[in-house]
Amino acid sequence: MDDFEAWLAATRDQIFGEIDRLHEQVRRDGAEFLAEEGGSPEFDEVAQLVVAGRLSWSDVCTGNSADPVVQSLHRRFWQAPDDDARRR
Amino acid sequence: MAAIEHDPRDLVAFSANVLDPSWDHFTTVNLYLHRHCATTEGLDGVFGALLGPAVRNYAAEWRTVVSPGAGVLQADSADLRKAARRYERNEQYNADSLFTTGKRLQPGSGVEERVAFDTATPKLSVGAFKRVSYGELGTPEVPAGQKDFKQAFQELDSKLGWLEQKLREYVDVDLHGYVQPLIGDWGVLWRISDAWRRAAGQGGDTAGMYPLYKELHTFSPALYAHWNGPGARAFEFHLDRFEAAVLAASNQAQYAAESVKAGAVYAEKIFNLVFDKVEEALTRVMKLATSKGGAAGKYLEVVDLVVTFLKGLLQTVTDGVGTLVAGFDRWVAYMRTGGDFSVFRES
Repeated sequence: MDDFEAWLAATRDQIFGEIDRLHEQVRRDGAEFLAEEGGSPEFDEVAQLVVAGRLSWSDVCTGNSADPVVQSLHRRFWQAPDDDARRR
Repeated sequence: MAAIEHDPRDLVAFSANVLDPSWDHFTTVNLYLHRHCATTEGLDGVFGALLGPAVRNYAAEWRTVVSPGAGVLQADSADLRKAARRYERNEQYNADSLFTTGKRLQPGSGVEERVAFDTATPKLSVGAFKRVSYGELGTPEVPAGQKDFKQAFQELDSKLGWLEQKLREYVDVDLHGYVQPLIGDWGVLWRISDAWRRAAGQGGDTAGMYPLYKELHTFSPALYAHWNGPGARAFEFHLDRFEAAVLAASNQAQYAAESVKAGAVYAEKIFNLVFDKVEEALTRVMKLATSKGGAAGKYLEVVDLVVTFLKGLLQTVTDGVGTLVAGFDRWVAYMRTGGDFSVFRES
């Protein structure tokens, strides 16, 4: 059982380390995406919430949050290029 | 002078026809378990690293605690023959002392009470002790209808490779590194479980610990019915305890079979969960190709997909494997107390 606990702790660390790495990568890459589109200081706030486990990227993807910042980012990220072109 | 109230040939017959084959079968069961349950070769990943030692501990504890029982049966058999010879020489005290003191007396030691053995009217019961026979334990098998692990894993590996290729268009991630340890060849566990089941012998089999208990328990009353005196009572007390321990060993083997079977079922369940998660992730990632979303949205979708996948794997392991390992540990701890099996260490 001790072996299992040690293995589980190591695996948990490894998986959460990988998730942290992905979150960090998203913050960097997301900022780049946004910078290309004129920048968004809110993005970093949302990223902080995701890293803190209070929000998932899925919420941002789906807009599944009452938070206006998240909804704004969702619209931004999921703004279909074709629709966007039509609007323009 | 009182006559000895039994025919010593009863003891010889019981020794040769009941105890000897039982001792032989006891040894066979233990060798069988050692051969089939002491190694978990082929059980890789988490199951190999965590369940493997637990499963092997079963066999090791059995060997330590239960195996000596074969030696006790062998000694009992030899003592019965020795006692028979002493009864035939009218050394009733020495013969009875073999069992009442639990020690083997040297010829001529102790107080000999010489009594006449009434050969003219022997109370024969030799016919009651026909040679008992036990069946073959057979080869441990994976139950029919079980999915072939190697084929299933190849399919998973191929899907996972495809998924990774798609994901890497967006993020750098190595899912194989996380999935691989969660894959265990449940075929190994099924075979070990089947070996324990056969050794327990509780399914109406003619081999294993339960039939051994049954044969001893069936024939021993016939022995006591024709053998009186302090030696007989002491032997009856000892053999009753021995029979109870054999029954407990059968139950423990059955419990081991069920526990290892739970491991096999769980290994396959984990595989199926991983497989489903890979398919689900593949479906999501394929949808992205036709999605109208922007690059950033697709990117986040992939990240979310990977995070959900990894958290799901962790949850699966935390929920199930820990419970299984704890179950194995409890059994091994119980065996180590030796409570039911102390009689196996007597000689």
